[in-house]
Amino acid sequence: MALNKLLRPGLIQLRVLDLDKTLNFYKNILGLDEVCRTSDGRVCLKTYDEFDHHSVTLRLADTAGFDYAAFKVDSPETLEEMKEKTIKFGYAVDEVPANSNQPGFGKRYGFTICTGHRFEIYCDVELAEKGPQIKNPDIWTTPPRGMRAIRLDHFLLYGPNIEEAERFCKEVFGMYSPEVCNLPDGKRLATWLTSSNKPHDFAFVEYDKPGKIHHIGFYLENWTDVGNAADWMAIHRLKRDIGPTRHAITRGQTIYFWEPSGNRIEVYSGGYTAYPDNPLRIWDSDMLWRGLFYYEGEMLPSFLEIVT
Amino acid sequence: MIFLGDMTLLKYDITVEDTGETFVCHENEFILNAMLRRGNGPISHGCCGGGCGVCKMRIVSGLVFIEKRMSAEHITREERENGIALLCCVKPRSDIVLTRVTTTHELQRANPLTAINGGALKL
Repeated sequence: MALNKLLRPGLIQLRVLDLDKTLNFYKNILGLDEVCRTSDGRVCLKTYDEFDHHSVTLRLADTAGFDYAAFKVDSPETLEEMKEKTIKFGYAVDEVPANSNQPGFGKRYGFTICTGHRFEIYCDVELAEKGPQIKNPDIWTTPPRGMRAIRLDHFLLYGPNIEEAERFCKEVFGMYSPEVCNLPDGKRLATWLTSSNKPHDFAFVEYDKPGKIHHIGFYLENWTDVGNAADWMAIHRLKRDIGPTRHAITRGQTIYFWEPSGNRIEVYSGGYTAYPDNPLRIWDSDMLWRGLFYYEGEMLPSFLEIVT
Repeated sequence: MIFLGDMTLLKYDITVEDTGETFVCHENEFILNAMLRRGNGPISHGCCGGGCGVCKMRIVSGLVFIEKRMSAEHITREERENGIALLCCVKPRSDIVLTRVTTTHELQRANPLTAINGGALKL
């Protein structure tokens, strides 16, 4: 799907308060497969339909939230090129050696952007042992479990100075914004960014506290699977924030809820096909609620204010 | 109405000092769930997993069992020692008296979201 040299968000590491309970959610309710554990006790997971080694790492900690996200780029040349551009942009870059703290991953370059989030880029990662078939492939090898998550799709980050962050993503990552939300004074309140045809690979909301995460989005096949996910939430008493509903922004069909450690998860299907030459869609901040919750059309304070 | 589950479970009175209201919570139930079951409470709530810090209150008197880890970002060790807890993580072991405290979220209101969020989180 990638149009650009930055392929996709390929990995996210999250902090969890209760590893066993939260892992049970990711495996048996969201439907991810456990790939491996690291020597320091972190757990690596992937969806049934992802090819690469793993896409989600859980780390036991005394707070919930976002450790870092890593993006796969298309070649070693792009990796070096983006590293140089990042330094030139003004962020200090460090190197994480291949096969060190993320099994199966090649060398990664990491840096912290103005919003307080650590981003990493890499081009090499081993294929998963239990990935989708490639020769006359069936649609799955073992039946998808629970909510049947297809892929790590996107995430929404909260932090200061998202105008600079947006500029970084455009200038260094080569991404584009299909949609933004502006305050009455013209300042950005939110921006959606993609390097593919997905409506977003991630998004930012302006916030005074750095390094926060609003949600991690997993892709589902269709609206029926969004309903199936709602059933799983009800059966397992998972706290739902909103949905099933529809976004006007991205057009996704969606539910937001919290996993057992308090990280907000979105399960999402549909969404429009984005193209970099399409005109930018602009939301006024007083219309944001309609953009977020198209069916309800009204505000939900918990949605914007609760982050980890 | 059968919502207390096993009737042999011990039941405790939870009193909210700020409103003077009392509700019942059984020993195997998180205090927040009892508050939600009752239909209203003096505080808002969020993730119900100990991560977001919205359901923070002070336990003025009584004993609770902390069953789930409370995010250190929202409950410092000092606060914990002073009886401040996230209600989604604790179960009663005696009658309890609670009172409101300022949450991390109330302290963070000075951000652009406030402008569009009207009354913000209803407390």
